[in-house]
Amino acid sequence: MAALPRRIIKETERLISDPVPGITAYPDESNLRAFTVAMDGPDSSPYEHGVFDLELYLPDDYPMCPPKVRFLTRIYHPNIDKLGRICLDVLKDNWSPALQIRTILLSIQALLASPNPDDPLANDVAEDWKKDEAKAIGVAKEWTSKYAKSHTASGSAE
Amino acid sequence: MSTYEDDHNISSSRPQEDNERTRTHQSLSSIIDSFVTSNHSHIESLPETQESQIETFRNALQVLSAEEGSTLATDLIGVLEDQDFNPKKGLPDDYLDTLDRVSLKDLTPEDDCPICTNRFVEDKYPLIVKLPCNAKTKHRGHIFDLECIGPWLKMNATCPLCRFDLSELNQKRKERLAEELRLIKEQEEEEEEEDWDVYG
Repeated sequence: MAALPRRIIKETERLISDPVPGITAYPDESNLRAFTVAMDGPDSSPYEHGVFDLELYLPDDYPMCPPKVRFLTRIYHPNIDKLGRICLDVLKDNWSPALQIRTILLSIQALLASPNPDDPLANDVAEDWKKDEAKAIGVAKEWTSKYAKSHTASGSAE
Repeated sequence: MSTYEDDHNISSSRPQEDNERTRTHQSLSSIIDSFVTSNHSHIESLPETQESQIETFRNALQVLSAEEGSTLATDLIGVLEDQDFNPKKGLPDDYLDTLDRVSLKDLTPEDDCPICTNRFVEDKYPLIVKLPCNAKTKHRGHIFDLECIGPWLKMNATCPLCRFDLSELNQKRKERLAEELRLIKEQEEEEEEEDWDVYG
């Protein structure tokens, strides 16, 4: 495997020594370009108190290309489909090499706090969201407590 | 004797259905044809037309994949999404030569390249350039290692920090250059004529 670019090493070190509040990201031992991410649902959002697992992969062209990020935990959100794929401009056309893993993860956390049903990825969820927002938020809360259990809480419950 | 169709009060609709099916297929194939041919000939001249054609093509594929469960169509949609079909987004290779160089003397030890995140002073032989993005910094433009900004500008015409579109400026620069060349040529021709006067 080719040597890891210095930028990736620096980013990884900083993610561990100075983590983004509410987000942890660790590289896999077998592949330092693959990260396991745990993200707290933002306060006063339907995802509050949930912990969501994501996988993040830095392609060979990174930082000329955006990281590939996907939710592993099921989530009810108009911009995230059932495969966990995320519809977010900075992960596609609006990527810039001045962005970093931490800024991307912050953008995803912000997307959880402000869903955008007018630019949907999960069409059915977006429809529900537009038809009856209160009900959709209820479902999102339900899914959060069902699937996005905090690790510490589920650990102590076992 | 009445036929099956008469008994059930339906007219022989099957041939019609077939007609419709063929028609959809004809239009689908013509869409695909026009996409493929235009993709060869007009990439540079008609980016917008091409974009709308990609959209039509994508829609056609979605019909195919939804109504007939064509896995090939589904795969092709995936390819379209992955490739992002932006054939003419970057700047030409010679654009890098036009960028202003920045000397280490004009930078503070803390200044770093936003792409590699290394401080410029750490580089023994730094090649630092400034983009003409008119950012409100002390240098009036964002600063990068030439080595880092090069690959980005080949694929994209924007400043990574402020998304300023550099392609328009580049177009103007080219026009100015062409104008200057024309003037020089005219002058040379005039001089040539004068030469004839003296020696002819």
